[in-house]
Amino acid sequence: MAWYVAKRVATMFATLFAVVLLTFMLMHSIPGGPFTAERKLPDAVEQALVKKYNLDAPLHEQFIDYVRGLLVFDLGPSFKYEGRSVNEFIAEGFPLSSRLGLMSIVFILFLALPLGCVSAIKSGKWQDLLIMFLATLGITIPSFVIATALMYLFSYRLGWLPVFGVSSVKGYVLPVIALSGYSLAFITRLMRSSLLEVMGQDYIRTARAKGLSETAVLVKHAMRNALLPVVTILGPTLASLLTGSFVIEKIFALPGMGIHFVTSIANRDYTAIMGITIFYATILVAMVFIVDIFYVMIDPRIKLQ
Amino acid sequence: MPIDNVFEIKNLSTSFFTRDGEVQAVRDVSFSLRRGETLGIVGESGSGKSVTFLSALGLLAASGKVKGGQALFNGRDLLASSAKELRKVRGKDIAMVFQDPMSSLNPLKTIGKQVAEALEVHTGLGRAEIRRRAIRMLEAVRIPEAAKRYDSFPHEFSGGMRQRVVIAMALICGPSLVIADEPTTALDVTIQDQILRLLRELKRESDSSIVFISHDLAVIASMCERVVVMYGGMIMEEALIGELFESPAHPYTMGLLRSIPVIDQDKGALLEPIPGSPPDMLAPPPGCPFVARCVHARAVCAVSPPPYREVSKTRRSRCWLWADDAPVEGNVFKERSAAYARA
Amino acid sequence: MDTNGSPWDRLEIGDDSMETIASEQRSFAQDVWYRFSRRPSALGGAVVVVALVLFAVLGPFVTGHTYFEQNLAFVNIPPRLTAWAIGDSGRYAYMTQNLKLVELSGEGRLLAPIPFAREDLSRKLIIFDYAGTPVSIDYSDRTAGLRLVGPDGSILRSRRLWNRSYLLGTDSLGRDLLTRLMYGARISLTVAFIAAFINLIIGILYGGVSGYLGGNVDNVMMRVVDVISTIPLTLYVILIMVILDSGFLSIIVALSSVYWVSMARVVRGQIMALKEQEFVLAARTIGTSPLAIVARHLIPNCLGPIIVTATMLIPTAIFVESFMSFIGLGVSAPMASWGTMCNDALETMKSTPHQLFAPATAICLTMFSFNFIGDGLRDALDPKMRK
Ligand SMILES: Nc1ncnc2c1ncn2[C@@H]1O[C@H](COP(=O)(O)OP(=O)(O)O)[C@@H](O)[C@H]1O
Ligand code: SF4
Ligand SMILES: [Mg+2]
Repeated sequence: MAWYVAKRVATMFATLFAVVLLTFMLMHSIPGGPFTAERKLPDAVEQALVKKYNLDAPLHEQFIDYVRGLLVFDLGPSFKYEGRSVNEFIAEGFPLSSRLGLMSIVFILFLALPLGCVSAIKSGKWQDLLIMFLATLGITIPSFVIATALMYLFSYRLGWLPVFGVSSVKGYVLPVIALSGYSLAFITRLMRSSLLEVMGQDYIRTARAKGLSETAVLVKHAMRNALLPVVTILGPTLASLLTGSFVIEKIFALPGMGIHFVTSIANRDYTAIMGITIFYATILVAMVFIVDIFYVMIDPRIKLQ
Repeated sequence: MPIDNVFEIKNLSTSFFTRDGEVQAVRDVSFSLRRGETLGIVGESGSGKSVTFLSALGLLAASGKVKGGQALFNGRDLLASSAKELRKVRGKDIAMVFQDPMSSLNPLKTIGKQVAEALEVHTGLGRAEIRRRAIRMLEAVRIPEAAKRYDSFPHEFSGGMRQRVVIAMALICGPSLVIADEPTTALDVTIQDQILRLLRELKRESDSSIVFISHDLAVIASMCERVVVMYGGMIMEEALIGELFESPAHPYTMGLLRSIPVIDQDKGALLEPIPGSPPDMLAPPPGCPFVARCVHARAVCAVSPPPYREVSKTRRSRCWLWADDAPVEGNVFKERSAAYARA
Repeated sequence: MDTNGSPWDRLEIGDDSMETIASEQRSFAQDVWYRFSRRPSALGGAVVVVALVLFAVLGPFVTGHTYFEQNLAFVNIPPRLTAWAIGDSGRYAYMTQNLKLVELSGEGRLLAPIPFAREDLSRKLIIFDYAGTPVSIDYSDRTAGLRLVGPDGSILRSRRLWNRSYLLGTDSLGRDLLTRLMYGARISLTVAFIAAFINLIIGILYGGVSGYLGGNVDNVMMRVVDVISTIPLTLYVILIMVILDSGFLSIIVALSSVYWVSMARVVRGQIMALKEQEFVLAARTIGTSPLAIVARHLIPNCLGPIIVTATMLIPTAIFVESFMSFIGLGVSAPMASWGTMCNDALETMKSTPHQLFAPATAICLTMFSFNFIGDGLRDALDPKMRK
């Protein structure tokens, strides 16, 4: 186990390093961009830039500098806003975004797992057909369409929920639903197919042959096995929540990280784009790591490898 | 003398309703099992052996439906019992050993837990006692260091060891009927021998009745006293094991016998698998299921199903060649009896 | 069979078994088509996609508008109009959102703006001059809302009419929404098809090489794929779009540079599984070149999953394209994709929801269709893969 964790930590850092390198290279390869030589800027601005970002140093030194900053969690200054740092952007936006993400994960799991089970148990019956129909909607309709449709219906037409902002708990309802839609549908479908597959396994027949009741078979034998694929999908789920947050925060005008990111893109605030991307990557890699460890803990077959 | 039947299947028919149509997996199957007897069921893969017993125990897949018949266990019809009553019998009075030890154990549960589970369901014993008995059972199936291996997971065991666990799981409640469905098919030959030896030993020690299912007549011969031959969802022949080998009473059995290796056979002797393949159970032939592959087939065989005839006190056969009006000339069975009679 | 013969006549082996074999002699393509067409959802999806392509290619020729032509007199007109009867001519007036009047023909065609005359602040009237007759917007009664009144101060008759000039209405610059939707379809579908095709090629090459060579090469190549897919692919697309600057080509390049990883995985998995099979070993032993083996044996045999994955790439591309446009990284104006149209309409959603719902519906419909086609193909190409 310790060996496995060590190995995973090593891969985690290697992956992160690759992501940092890639992002750095991408940002420094923008033709006419801020980090390249052939810019056409007034001399004073040029000078200030060069000084601030150490632009006349060779590329690898700039990179080393940048990485050195990362090691002490310093993502550097904003490229567009004088005197502000990327760290500040993250500190401002992250609490709201993470709250939104957390709520969504909880919402997804509490709904998707039971729905998937019901669908599998009632396979072919109207419950299953209904749930699968809704899941198909959830998977195919883009989140920004769900968000705008919900907003139009519940905020403008019915007036039940606030249009913008999260000053009250009510404000979270629509963003969370819109953000969760895709993953909720996806995990419901996954849970269903996974449970159906497990229920067709020989060991389920063995359990029935021992005289266990259907409920006991489901709870003691099928559930845990059926959950394994769901656990592996948690990483990608997080990733999709993260990208989803860009549009959801924009539509509902929530001051989270997503909106900072989108604004940075619109402003071509290159250091902020780079910094936030790396921050996102770090969170994701860390989460995938946690999920992997969790997976090893619930699946005894992996331990020995 | 009343025959003491522990288990009896009467006119069982089972079909699977798939999206391609009705798969008639078992068609009008009847046989019985005496107390303490070991009955072999033999037939090519797909002949309906497993489905027969899964039907009796209510373990069919959702698409499978029993269309008619009875499955009497100690005189009580399991097919007419409620799901709850059936659950009380399963695992306690009737236990099953399945074919593939890799897949019939839950990979996420310790083998000890899985062996003990039937005791938890069917007895009110305390935890410690259950564990003690489960360990004893594991010892009985010759798992070394059973107490230590109790908390191991299936993937830590070899195939043969796993099959021992599966056997332990089946025997833990001391069932009066054990149905072993191809318990050695998935194992390689040496392991197969060990498991067969174990099963013979366990059989000697207990008074359970056993149904031993296999597609391999040689394995059946080493385990059973009597054998039922199935093909295309029907019983083709039923006989004592000795007479079956000596003088098979059905062309399909003759084919099966030709396809098993015999140790003292001439070195050059070839095994002949039966040419052709089993019938499509979506649209089984109207007559004898074996007709397309039978070297003795007659015109009538393709048209109507052969009668199931008593050939002697101990054996029955489902072949037109045994019919009263079947001509003797060119008839393997009648010519043979005629020869015996002359001798 | 000889009906006159005795029931005890001997039968030859195989007499009957031939029949069943003959009935299974349907070609693979026929089989696939048969299974595909038996699913209403898949067939429906295919029909919708064909209709969409026709809509995109031919549509703009029939609407009588162009996607860039602006008519500032007719901005934000919805598809369904409240028409107030004016005069005795059978003409109507439509009140725009910025309180102007537009003359309508009886069947709902937009004719011309009605000139503004003056505003009467004391009586709370905005007065227009309709060929000499004054027609006024009366904003005196807050609860009743805005009404149109005639010269004598009586409220005019009103009815609902479909907009015949702009079937789906106009946007905030007075451009025809339907025509823009059709152009949007061109852009979105073109982007999707090209991106899916490029991803398909890269994925097949990458996955094919990795799977075929195996060993260390495979290890390294798959590690690279793992690293790439650690962070969401959308994030790369964003970064690449930032570098390339928004535009039609950029979005194709951006989409094509990352989404091949799923295809590569699928192809590699298939190749790995097939590689050890007998027909490949046989080809190898008779000395067929590796490239020929891959091209002639491996690729055709894993065609099923490849086609399915490729089909699924199209809705992904459409989604990501609209997503990019929605966060301001799509094609540039006056070009329109469905995503940019949604984005443009977002702010005025409350007053002009039709501008948002038209492209949103188009996106959903397309996503549905391709997903259904993909599911249908998955089912038809490989019945074992069915869930
Ligand atoms: N779940 C199922 N769905 C459809 N057909 C089935 C199912 N299980 C078994 N069958 C069919 O029933 C027939 C008998 O199967 P089985 O009893 O498992 O054969 P075997 O003699 O090898 O044990 C076969 O033709 C098989 O295809
Ligand atoms: S009934 Fe006919 S076809 Fe069937 S086994 Fe007997 S001879 Fe052969
Ligand atoms: Mg079987």
